[in-house]
Amino acid sequence: MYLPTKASRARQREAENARQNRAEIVKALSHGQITRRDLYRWGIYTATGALLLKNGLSPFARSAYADDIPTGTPRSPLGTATKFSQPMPRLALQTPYTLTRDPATGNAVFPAALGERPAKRLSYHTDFTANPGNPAFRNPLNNRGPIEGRPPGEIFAHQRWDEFFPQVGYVMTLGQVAAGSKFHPGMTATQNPNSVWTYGSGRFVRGTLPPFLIKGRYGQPILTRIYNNTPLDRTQNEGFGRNESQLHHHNAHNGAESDGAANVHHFPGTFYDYRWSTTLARRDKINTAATEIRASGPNGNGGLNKVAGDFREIQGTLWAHDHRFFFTAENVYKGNLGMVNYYSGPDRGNEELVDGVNLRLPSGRLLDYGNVDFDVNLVISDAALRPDGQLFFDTFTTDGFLGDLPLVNFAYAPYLNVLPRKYRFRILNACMSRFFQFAIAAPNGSAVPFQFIANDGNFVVNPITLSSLDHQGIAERYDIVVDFSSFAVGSSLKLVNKLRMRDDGRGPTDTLSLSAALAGDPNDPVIGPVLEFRVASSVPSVDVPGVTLFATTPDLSQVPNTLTEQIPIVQPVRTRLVEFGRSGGGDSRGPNGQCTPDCPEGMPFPWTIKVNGQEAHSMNANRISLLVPQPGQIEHWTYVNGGGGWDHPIHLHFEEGITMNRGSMSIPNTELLVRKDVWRLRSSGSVTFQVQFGEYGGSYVNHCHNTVHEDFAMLMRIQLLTGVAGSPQTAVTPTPNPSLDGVTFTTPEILPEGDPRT
Amino acid sequence: MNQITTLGLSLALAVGFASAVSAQTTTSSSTSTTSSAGVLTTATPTTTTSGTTTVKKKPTSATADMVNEAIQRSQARAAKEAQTGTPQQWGSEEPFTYNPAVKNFTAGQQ
Repeated sequence: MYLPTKASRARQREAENARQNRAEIVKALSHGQITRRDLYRWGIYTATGALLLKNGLSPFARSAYADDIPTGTPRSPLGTATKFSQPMPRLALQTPYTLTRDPATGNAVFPAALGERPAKRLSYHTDFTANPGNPAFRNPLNNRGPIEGRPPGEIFAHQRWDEFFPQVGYVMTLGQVAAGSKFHPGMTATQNPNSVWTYGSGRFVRGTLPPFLIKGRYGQPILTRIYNNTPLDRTQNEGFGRNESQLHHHNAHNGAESDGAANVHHFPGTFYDYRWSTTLARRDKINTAATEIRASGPNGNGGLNKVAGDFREIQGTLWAHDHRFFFTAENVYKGNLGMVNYYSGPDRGNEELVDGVNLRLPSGRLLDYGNVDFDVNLVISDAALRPDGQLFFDTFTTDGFLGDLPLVNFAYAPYLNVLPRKYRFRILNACMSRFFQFAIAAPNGSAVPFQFIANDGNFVVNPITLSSLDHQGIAERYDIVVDFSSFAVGSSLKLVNKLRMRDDGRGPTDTLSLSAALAGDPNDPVIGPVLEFRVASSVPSVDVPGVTLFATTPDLSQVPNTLTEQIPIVQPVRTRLVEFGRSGGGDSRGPNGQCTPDCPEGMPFPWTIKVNGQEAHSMNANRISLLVPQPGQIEHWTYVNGGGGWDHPIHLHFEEGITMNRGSMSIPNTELLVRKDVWRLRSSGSVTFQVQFGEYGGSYVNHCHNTVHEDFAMLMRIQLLTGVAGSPQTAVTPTPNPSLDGVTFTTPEILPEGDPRT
Repeated sequence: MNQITTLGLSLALAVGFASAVSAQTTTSSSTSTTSSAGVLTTATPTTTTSGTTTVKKKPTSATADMVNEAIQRSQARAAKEAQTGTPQQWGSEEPFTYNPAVKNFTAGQQ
């Protein structure tokens, strides 16, 4: 898709013209001047979903200057930037504030110096609805609508508020990136404020790079307050991205009101209080008296606080990202994401502490828990720039978007100094459509073995020694431990992407050998090394700034032979079949002729989902495709790729599934009987997993995490009637419809094939 | 839509109106093919919903046979794409005959 660097000026000009034409359409789409359905109505997309092969629009149209060669897209300008010439930034650690309970109101009170209003069980929208004339509850930016985006009333009240009362709070703002932000110092342009929208610490501040990191721990519920400080005028977006957001805490065990995917986006000037409960799953069913010591979180003083729930469902590596329906790809790509590490008794983030529970995985020892000196988050993504150096996004295939710049923690191909010892890496694929397959190359080019310890934040029972990772789809997280102790100080190793993608972004094609990948691919600069590890004799501590860590200090970390215990596969209460593909009419409308949100017209979308072999549907937030009637019922689900040439990484919100099989296809040890929340479906692939739901209820979703597919309606709503008895979550959740004036509700349609009550 | 005068959108509109007709024809044609082929053999009869009136009960649990059929259909489409280089057409149900004797899936299989 990207032109070779030696392409003629005529071809570069031709491709740039086409790119600019596409950018204008993306811009009009993001400004709301046109809808995705307009594009179909005009025939911009063909029936196969690809951009019409017209020269002047499509990167796949034949070039006028070279027969049988696609027009392509110009390479991103690098300036003087070269690979491995800047240090890798560590994620921006956020500082928690202690919250106190107001005994009179039950509110969670921030420290007075912050000037924050207290967090409440019921949203401030509830107050606004009751008293719309009170300026204290109005959006201060436009004096219109509620100050909080969380919908009003009991339905969107924080579930189990007293039980999981937030003990710490974070205040962050989604906003224009700070002045001077670049992906590499050698790039000529700094990013314009509206090219990148990301998170900053505090209220109504600018965003910063790299993305944020929050350290959570079991037993210490979190209140994360997010202000939206993006421009009020949605056209001020440098051509892509929507100034409305809902922050999805990817697979944390939270109530739907805090899942960030219940069609509850909020607007500039407002905030949203997400209560990240740190609930350990199955707390209502297993270890309810909290007697199991492995079900616990660090208390900050070397000890543990026991919590109810199943220690086999402990989560570690999580992330959070925008989930604004129909604009998720643009927004996440624009910088609306961060990572969240959960710490527990076994996964303490302290490699020195010996108590019979702590696994002592590589991390560090300077802090009681949550050391990251030797436990490194890697947010790996691809990006593209306009000729003027500004971030560029192109939705112009419905198949996928591929960038030509490898970014690690939003830095272009950096290096990381490491000591000759064991390190844990938490690798997140944060691309929009690109799959990766990573290996580590030694200085002589040979593959360095490592241990695979967790998939999507869930421990495997026994570490698995590998010399190459499996494919890693969008949103998948792989935790690995690499031992650099056999490499001399001064050595250089590389993290290498070996996976070649189809040019159109539909999915992977083939895996290159490590030596071939190391040599790079002239057609795809994201193949090859993306991060360099430089073995050093000393490194500065991240956990305690000012302290220097030395290679001579003994490595006390270990990777035990057993990390957790297996959850057995049992006879299910019911089985479900979900097919992701292109069959059916792609009509999103419900019986009322409407589609929620932003899709009021009758034109179809390219992607559809069908349940139990019935009619296919495209996304409509006012349609429930699957309903789970009771907590604790064990179900077996099979996902099937509709086939025909696409790969889909499918993400289930809220609960993980235990991967049972991939039909008649082989399944790697890194997946077999392993808990996951994203499964790659190959072109003719399927996967069956065991899942159960509990503790919380409400409206969640299930979707393709190729976010371009997701934004073209490959998403369905799931209704969980799994809240505690007597709560609103034991009934179907009315659909919230956010607007600048506040949220209104509609009654959702329920597909009969997804509703076991029928 | 208002005040869209830029080159990209003009070009989009120009090529779009010409091709919209053929695109619609394609959709219509494929729907017709699907309908006449009558090749989908879902395990449970489909239901028609008119307002809130359900004609026949839809399956709320999937059988192994349903999953097996879906996998076979997926494999057939993937094979076709590999053979022709053309991905699955949007909005289509392509000719496919389910063979229950070929097992790709067994309930509870690990």
